[in-house]
Amino acid sequence: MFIAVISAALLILLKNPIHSIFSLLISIISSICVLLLIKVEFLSYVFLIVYVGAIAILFLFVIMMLNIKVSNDTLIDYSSWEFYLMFPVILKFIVSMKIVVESYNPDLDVIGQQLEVGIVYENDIDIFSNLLYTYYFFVFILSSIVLLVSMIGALIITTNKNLIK
Amino acid sequence: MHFFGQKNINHLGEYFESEPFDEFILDNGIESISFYYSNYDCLVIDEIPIKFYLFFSFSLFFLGILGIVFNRRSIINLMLCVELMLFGASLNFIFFSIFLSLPSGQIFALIIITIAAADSAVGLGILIAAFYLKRNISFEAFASLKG
Repeated sequence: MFIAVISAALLILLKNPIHSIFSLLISIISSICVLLLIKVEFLSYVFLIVYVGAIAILFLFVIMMLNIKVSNDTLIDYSSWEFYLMFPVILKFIVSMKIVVESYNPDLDVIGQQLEVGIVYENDIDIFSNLLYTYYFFVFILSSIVLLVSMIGALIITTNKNLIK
Repeated sequence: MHFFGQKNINHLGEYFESEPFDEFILDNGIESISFYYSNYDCLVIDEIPIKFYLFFSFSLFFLGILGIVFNRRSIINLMLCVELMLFGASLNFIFFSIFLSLPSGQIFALIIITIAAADSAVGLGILIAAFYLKRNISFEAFASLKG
């Protein structure tokens, strides 16, 4: 958990975008380890494949293709007013975390008991296949349509003949 | 709520037989209560209270917001921060689905990573098109956008 949070902080602090991609990878892999510890097996492997295998490689490919120069201006400009905006924002973060920690609702315990908490799934893939193809079939089809539309949109945007001259 | 292929394990890792579901709500099985009130006063996943998990996912989400707000460099960093925000949100879904043992939360997490993949594909396509137009992808290059 701490490795994930620290590397996510490094993501917004590092200058080179390739370094920030690798810190995003470290953050995602360490949180996948957290997910494996609480026995979310199927989704953790899906996260590993999608984020590490697809999204991060896509970002790396685009950065290497576009050949971006590393900009010299740092993230934090100490003379700007935006830097001083950061202190109330972080204070807001602490206060809202205090609210999250203190807003412990004992009714949730009752809900958890009624829903048979304490069950450890034997096989995640059985649960997912049984739910995804029966109750949530519309969501499944909708996500496939989203992927199809995004694929066609990315192809149309990048292979426009007017752009490439 | 009955799950397929379920196995009941108490906090010591021992298998116990549970009643059929219709009687289980009436009885509110003692093993599951002792699972959740073992050492702490609140709900736990693997004997870690839920607030640590919530702190974890919310801090990832918040670092994504911070990265978007204080970004001065390029759009690639902004899109990485959007990915981080989506990942934090899906982690929150997963933790609550484990915590309430409702598998629908994990299905929503699956949808969120679908959206994230579509998002990154279209965004990087737009980025490449903008790079062919302007030869630059900093924020100053997009200052000429109308609107």
